[in-house]
Amino acid sequence: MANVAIKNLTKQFGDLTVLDQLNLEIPDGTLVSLLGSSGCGKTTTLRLIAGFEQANEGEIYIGEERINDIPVHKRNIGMVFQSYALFPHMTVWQNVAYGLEQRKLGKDEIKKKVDAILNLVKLSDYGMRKPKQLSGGQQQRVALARALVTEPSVLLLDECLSALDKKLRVEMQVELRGILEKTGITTLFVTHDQEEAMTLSDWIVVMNRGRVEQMGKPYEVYEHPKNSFVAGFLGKVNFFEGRVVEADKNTVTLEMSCGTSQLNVNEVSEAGKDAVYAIRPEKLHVKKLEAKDESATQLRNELGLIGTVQFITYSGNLSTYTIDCNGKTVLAEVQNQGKPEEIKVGDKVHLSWESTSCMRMEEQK
Amino acid sequence: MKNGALSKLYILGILLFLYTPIFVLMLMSFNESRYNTLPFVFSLKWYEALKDNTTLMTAMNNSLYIAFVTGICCVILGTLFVLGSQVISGKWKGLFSSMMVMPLSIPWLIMGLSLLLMIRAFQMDKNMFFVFAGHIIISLPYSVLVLQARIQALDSALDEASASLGANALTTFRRITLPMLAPAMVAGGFLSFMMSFDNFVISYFLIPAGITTLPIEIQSSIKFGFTPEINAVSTLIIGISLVCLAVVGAIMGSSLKSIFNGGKA
Repeated sequence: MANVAIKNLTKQFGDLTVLDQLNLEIPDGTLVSLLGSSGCGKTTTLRLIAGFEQANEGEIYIGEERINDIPVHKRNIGMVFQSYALFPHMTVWQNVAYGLEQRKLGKDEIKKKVDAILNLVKLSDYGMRKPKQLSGGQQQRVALARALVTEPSVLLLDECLSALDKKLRVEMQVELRGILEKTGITTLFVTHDQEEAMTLSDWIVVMNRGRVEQMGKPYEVYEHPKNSFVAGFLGKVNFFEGRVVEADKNTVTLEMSCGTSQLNVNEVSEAGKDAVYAIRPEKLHVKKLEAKDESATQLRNELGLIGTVQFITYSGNLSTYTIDCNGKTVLAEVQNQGKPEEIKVGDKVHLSWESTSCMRMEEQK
Repeated sequence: MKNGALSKLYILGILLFLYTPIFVLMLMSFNESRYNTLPFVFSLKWYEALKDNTTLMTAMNNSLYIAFVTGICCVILGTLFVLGSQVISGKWKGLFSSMMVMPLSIPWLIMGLSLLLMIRAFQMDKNMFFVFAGHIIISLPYSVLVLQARIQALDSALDEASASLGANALTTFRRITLPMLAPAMVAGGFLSFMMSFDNFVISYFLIPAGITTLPIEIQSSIKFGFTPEINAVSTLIIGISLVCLAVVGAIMGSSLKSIFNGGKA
């Protein structure tokens, strides 16, 4: 077990630059997810660490050792493929034993280790079956057992849960987490599924166009996204984009294409500069504005936005309101408390939020 | 209901069309009459006569020998080709593959003729080497087609998985690639064997004087007086082929089935 470090890694396929000076450190014994849309370079990163591709520039270290020039079969990695790539002509037991045989272990030792790992993934009774005779979830566990049994320095998982249906996937996420915690192995997990990355990882690395946009704990990248790509990739978000006309202690007056609004924010930008602020739909407080309501005037003077409800999407625990604020569409999510519906389509509402919820985005160049 | 009966009748019609001639031949090999005429009287005398017909037996042995060598060569060459073509990229791969199976579309008559012309042009004598060469040329595409279908259906991640588990290229080939290809090698070899075994045209052009193969012998015996011994030898060949198929099928089990079902592993 060891930490993995990637330094200035660049990979080109023809004219296409897939990885652009990538830097990454995977701490010892943690599970790190590479998250990004397809084509962002996450799978290429994994394949470079495994050794299936050669980098154009940069270095890869496992522990202290630079592994760029070491062939795949000497790298001591474990990999679970998207298709599982179980050997169809071998039994489950033979599949798992394969890696140990390559390491020239004695028969008794191989038997002991294979039995132990099959027990860990709860497949002790399936050793004599062929992969085809197993369900998707079971095949997945065989693939995991096969990769883990050799005690690799790093475990690489390539979108390995995406072939399962949703219910099974969630079960496997929990199981995977449990198994990996027991083995304490450094793991790199490639996925495009943000929910999966959130549930499984110690660290999330959000990638875009061959670069790392942000690396952090799951709550960090969700609650404090660095820029609008990260904010938009993980979960839903409302963006306010425009020129700052006035900046106060915790408020900015933002001139947007649909009009000027005063927002309370976590961090002000200088007046005269362009800025992007983002706020998550669940951080918005929605209050109905009654025409004759006495509080209406008071609310109008409070900070926030006023708009008209256009759609309401009810999804059991949540209601999502699509609100038109002077031409700007804003999403707001409200927990349903079991009370009858108060707000209806066409109602005027007031939106407010804590200043910490409205996050300034680093500008993207 | 009515539709079901109709389509069954239709299928029966096609099957009759395909198998009636062969059935008649097999039947006549057990008929006593010398002139393939009815009434049918069961007899094994033509099989007994076959035993003593050394010309026919030698011809059959020659055909089996040629077909066996051809089959083995086709499997080896075909396997090397499909493995090699995995490494080639892009347009070259397509070009090579098309050129490999091209002999399928060239009439055997022309193929045989061109080989004969070549031998003459270089002032060489007909010999067994050219017989093998000719048979391999026309049989190889069948092996290649079967092997190609198989290798394309294989998950390329299998090799990578093997490497990631610590196996070097040679071990990966021996323990993963070869076993995965084996059913296709057997099936492809069998096809090439059959193509060579019943080939008349190529052998006719290239066979050295004094040597004969079964198809040539059958052809000439039709010219000089047909005996039901030919029926008997044909029936034996069909029988042996079916037994071969059954054995291969039993050994390879589902893997072979998957080849005939479109190569899905």
